[in-house]
Amino acid sequence: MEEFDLGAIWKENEEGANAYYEGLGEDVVEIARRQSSSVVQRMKRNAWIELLAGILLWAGIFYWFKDNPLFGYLAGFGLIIYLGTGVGLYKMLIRFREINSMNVFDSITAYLKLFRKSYRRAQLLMYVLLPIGYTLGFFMGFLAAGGTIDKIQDPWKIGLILSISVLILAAFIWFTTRKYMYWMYGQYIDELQDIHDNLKEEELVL
Amino acid sequence: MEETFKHIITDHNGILYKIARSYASEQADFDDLYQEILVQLWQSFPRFEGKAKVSTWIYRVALNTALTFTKKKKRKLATSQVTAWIADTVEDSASQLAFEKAQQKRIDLLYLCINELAKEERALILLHLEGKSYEESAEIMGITSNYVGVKIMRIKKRLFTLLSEKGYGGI
Repeated sequence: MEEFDLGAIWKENEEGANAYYEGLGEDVVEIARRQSSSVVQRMKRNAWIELLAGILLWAGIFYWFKDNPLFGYLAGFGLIIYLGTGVGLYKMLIRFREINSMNVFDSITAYLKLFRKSYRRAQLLMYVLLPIGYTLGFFMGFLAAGGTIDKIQDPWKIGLILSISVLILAAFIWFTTRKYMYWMYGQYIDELQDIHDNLKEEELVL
Repeated sequence: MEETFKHIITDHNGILYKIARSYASEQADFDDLYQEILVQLWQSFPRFEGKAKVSTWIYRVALNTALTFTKKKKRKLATSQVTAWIADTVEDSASQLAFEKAQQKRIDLLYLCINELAKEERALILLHLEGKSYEESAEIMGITSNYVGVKIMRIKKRLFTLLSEKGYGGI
C-alpha cells in the first residue's frame, strides 16, 4: 500500500466536511456560545458550587451556634481552610483559561497539574477538615446540651472514644475520597498520563 | 468579532470535521465533540493574538479538546436536521456510482483504523495526512520535529497493517 493513496483519500474528506458544515442548520456562533461541557468547565462549576455551599454552611453554623463558647475556634479554623483551598482553586482555574490554546504537550501537563492540585485540595479538605470539625462538633454539641468542661468526669475515656471514632472516620473518609476522586477525575488522569508519557518518550528514543 | 470568527470557521471547517471524526466513533459523540470544539474555539478566540498561524491555533484547541473529550450520552447537538441530513446522504450514495461508493467506503475504513490508534498517535497521523511539515506538527504538539518523524514512521506502519487487516485492498 502506498502512502499517496492515503493522502488522496484524506483529501476526499473535504466534501464530507463541507457538507456537514453546511448542514449544521444554525449559526455557527450560536452553537459556539453554548455552555462548555469540558472537564475544566466542570471543575470550575464544582468550585463555584463548593464556594457557595461553604458560604451557606457557615451562615447556618453562625445562626445556630454563634453563642457557643467554641464557635470562635470552629469559625477561625473553617475560614482558614475555606480561603486557603476554595479561593486558591478558583484562582488557578481562572489562570488555566488558556489551557486549550497551548501546544498539546504543555496543555496535557497543565491539565495533570490542575487535576493533582484539585485532588490534593479534596484530600486536605477531607482528611483535615472533617476529623477536626467532628471533634469540635462533638464538644460544641456537649456544651450546647448544657454540659461544661468541668463536668467531664473521665477526660481520658472521652479522649479515647474520640480518638477511635476519629480514626474510623478518617479511614472511611480516606476510602470514600479516593473512590470519589477516581470517579470524578480518574479516567482523565490515567488517559492524560498515558498520552503525556508517550509524548515524553522521545528522550528515550532519540 | 462574530463575523471574523464565522469566516475563520468556514475556511477551516475541515479541521474540525476531521479531528471530530478521528476521536469519535459514533454519530452522537461526533456531534458533541464537533460542538465542544466550536465552543472552545469561541472561548479562546478573544485571546488569540495572531502570533501563531490561524490553522495552528485551531489545531491546538481542537486537538486539546479532543484529547480530553469523553463520551456524553445526555447532550446532543440541537440540530436534528443534521442527523437526518447525514442519513439522506448515505441513502443517496446507495444510488451513486460504484466509484463514489468505494471512495466513501475507503474514507470510512480509514477513520475506523485511525480510531483504533492511541490518542496521541491519531493527532500525529492527522497532522501528517493534512500535509503539515514535521516542524509545524512539532509546534502544535510541543515535541521535537525529530521525534515527530520517528513517531510518524511507526504510526504509518501500524495504520497500514490495520488497513490491510480490515480489507483495504479489496475496496
